[in-house]
Amino acid sequence: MSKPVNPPPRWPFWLLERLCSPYQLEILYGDVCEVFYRRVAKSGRFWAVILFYRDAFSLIRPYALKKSEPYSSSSNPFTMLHLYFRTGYRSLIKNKLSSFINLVGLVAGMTAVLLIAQYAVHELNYDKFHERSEGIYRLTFNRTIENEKVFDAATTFLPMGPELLDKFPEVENQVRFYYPFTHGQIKIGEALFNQEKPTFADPGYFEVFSNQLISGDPGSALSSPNSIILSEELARTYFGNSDPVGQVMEFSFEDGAARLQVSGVLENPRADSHLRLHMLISMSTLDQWPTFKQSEWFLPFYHTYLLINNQADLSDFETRASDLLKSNRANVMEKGVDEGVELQALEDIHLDSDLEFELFENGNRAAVNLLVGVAAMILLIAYLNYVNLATARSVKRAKEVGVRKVMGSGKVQLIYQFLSESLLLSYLALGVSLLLLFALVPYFSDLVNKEFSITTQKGFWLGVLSATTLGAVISGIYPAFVLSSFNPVSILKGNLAGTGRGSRLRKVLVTFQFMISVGLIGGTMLLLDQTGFLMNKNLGFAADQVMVVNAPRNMASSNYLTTVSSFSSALEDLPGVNSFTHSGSIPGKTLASGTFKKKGDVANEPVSVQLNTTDIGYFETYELDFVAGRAFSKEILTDRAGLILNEAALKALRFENAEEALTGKVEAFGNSREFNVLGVVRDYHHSSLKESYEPIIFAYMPNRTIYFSFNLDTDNLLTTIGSIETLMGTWFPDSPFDYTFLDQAFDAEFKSELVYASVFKSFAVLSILLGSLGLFGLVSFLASQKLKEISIRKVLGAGGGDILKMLSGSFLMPLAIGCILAWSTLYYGGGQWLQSYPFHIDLGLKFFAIPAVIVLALGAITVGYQAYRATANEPTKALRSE
Amino acid sequence: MRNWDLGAFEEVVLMAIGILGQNAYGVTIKEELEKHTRKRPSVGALHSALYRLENKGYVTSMESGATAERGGRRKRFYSMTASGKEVLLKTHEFRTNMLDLIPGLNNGDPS
Repeated sequence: MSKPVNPPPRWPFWLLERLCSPYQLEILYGDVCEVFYRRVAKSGRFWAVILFYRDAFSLIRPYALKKSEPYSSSSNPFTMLHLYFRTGYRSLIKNKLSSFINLVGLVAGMTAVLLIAQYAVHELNYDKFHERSEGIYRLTFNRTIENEKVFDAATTFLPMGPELLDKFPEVENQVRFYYPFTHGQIKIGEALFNQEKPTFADPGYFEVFSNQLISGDPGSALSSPNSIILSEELARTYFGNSDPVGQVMEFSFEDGAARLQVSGVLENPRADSHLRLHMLISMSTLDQWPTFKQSEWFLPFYHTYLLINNQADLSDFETRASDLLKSNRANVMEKGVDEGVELQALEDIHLDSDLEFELFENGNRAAVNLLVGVAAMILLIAYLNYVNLATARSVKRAKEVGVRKVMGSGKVQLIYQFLSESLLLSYLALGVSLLLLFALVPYFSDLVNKEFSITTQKGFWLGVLSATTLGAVISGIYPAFVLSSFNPVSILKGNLAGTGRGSRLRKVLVTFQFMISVGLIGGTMLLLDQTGFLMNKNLGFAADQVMVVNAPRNMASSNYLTTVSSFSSALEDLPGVNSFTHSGSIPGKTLASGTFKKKGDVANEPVSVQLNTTDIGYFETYELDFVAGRAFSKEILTDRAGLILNEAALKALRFENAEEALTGKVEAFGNSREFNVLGVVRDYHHSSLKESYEPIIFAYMPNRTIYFSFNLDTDNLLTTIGSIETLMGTWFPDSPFDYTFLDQAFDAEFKSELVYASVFKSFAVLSILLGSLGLFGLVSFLASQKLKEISIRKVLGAGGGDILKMLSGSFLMPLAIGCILAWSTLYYGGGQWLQSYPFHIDLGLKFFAIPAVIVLALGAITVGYQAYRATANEPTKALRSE
Repeated sequence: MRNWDLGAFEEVVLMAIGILGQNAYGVTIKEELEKHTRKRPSVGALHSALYRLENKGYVTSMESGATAERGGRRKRFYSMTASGKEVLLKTHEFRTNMLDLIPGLNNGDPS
């Protein structure tokens, strides 16, 4: 070519260079270029360029690609593996401080995550041990008004289960559970026991669920009336070591009494089941009491579990089942209220269900998620420490990289080497964490108050291993790239290019760590303060002085009232007993409910109000304050037609004020009776401190009571309790004496909050420790990096303060930004969390200031120590050697 | 040497190399192909055939002769080996043999 022609586009070459082996590319691309110039001469530049692209990209063929480079050593990277690990090990040993920080950090993070993960796995796998767990559903019952759920219960009506089994082919089996609202009483020989939740169950139990009988026949154990199955634990309590099967016991509860024969022993309920039942009485036992049959379509109190085959269309099923329900309840359903049933998957019950009449208290998915999130944060801090220190140290290792490169090490090999270092560290940390896990699980089990064992799921451990590897690769890749990209010539000349490299990233990472630390401390303080606030809040009644005993069960109702009043007058002679009452409910226990209306209020619908049936002494025993009016009186007989409201009920019934209520009347819906209002009591926390005050009406109905309450003097308490026990023994010889104090019951409500608070506390401490450990490593590195600068400054007259100022600049800014980020998260997240409690503390300044000060102080100590070390150095020592 | 098989495209490339003698490299081979056949192979396709021929041992190559218009890159010159010649002849032979066996094909040997 004699005349100059514009060269072909350059960028395809740039691309091919990356893809193809240089040896092949030289020849091939040469040909492509030559062809291009010939084409320009022949058919013009336009076509030449187009065909040039075709030719250039036609080179991307297997034989031309990099991997088949005939001259490069096609060495297997695995042959170098043991060397990578050896050098990795050496560098870990050489840099003891930073290796230690990294290891401690990773171990702490991994242990925290593993512990939490064990807990989460336990929580997430509830009820999965049942063979057919995916086909088991619970039938729930709800009432809606204008598409808004006003009532949603875990229970439904007595005949629902058998009807569905009978009429719906997709239902393979069903089992119902029923337990009376109050305790039952058991008499074996002369021994008396109170039994919480004595549960009646269908024989389908053993076909739907996979719980096993230890002795007895699962096919017949629950089929005949008056048979009972006990858990191993309960059988031991009742019968000691003798064989329980075939033994008989007298059982009584609020609706009747029967003689039961033990037909089997059940294995103890598993910790990962929401059905933790210790006693199963055959469902057919209920047939002997007509009340159950009579109320079958009125009272939705039966937990119903269905085994449905997996081809069924569930939403269609729900519609048809709801139609069945409505056709049976057509004459009792209220106008404007829609009713229906829904299916709830068994496996979701533990974490996602919070309905009326749950069998036991369920778990909380949000809390599990929160814990997992916090544990992940800890691990993140640990990995950030690793990235920080590894990049910071890169300058120190620059010479090593230079020499390696000169000796023929490629960039990829260097990356492999640094990655294997981080892998080595991570696996080491994982090993230590596993040991710690085994040691700590029992303590953690205590801490979260749940019995669980280390999971043996293969998938879980595979996940742990791959997550560790992934974490190591991700955290190692940045330092590996920084280190491997050093230019050997300039490094070996002593020109430390890249000192400032990654410093911006390091600042971002440190900021992030500060944010997490401040956020965790603040969050923990908030949780502790709010829980403390609720626990110390005045309940509104005399919780610490009231002792509660279950009222006698097995008495004819005609005798009951007279015996109780004789007992009550006998109590008056006992020193230490201030007052006594018996009532249908006590604070902390469920209330009955009724529908009421202010008389003459035509504009509004009647409202549902909680109802407590009491005798006269209730208000005195619980020391309730009267805002207006008075308590029931023994002398005034018309009081029987009177009610006492609390302030919330006053508001709910739309009375203007207490005076209006005292002169007005209240209508009870349904039987259209009218009641006078005798008094209004100040609101108190009846059921839970986590909820707002609920409207309660007190009615004088002393013949149907469930609890005895005694207001006691706190002096000589044990003597008083002893004499009450003797007295009860004389008046009610067939009733066991178990007592509780109400303040303990209310404290138990905060068990889960206290558990979370203590877990968070340890996490917050861990995060601060890790954060400051990372900061310590970083600043000590910076100080050693700037040793010469510091020495020169000292020679020129700089004092300790100046050095401190210089070093602290590296952490003040990240701290400030981290604080602002954490504060805003805390402000929104914490604020919203507090709003979920009707009674809550204010989100005060201290929740923002204290965490920041703690982190600032720790940072200052760390930096101060390093500054001190730097200034204590003899400047000549640092400057003498070059 | 893997086997005696030779693809149709490989065959014409091999013949082009034979024709070109001392001056057979990517560009000249491509032009030779364009002269005798209607084929306009891309550089990549051509080289992948050359790569296969070399693997099979029908050609050998050596690099030399960088020019400016190639951006200073060397050429790879190909020459036919003895087995290359042999495979060409064998291919031709069995082809004519088979052709002769087709009845009614006017090839001067009515049967």
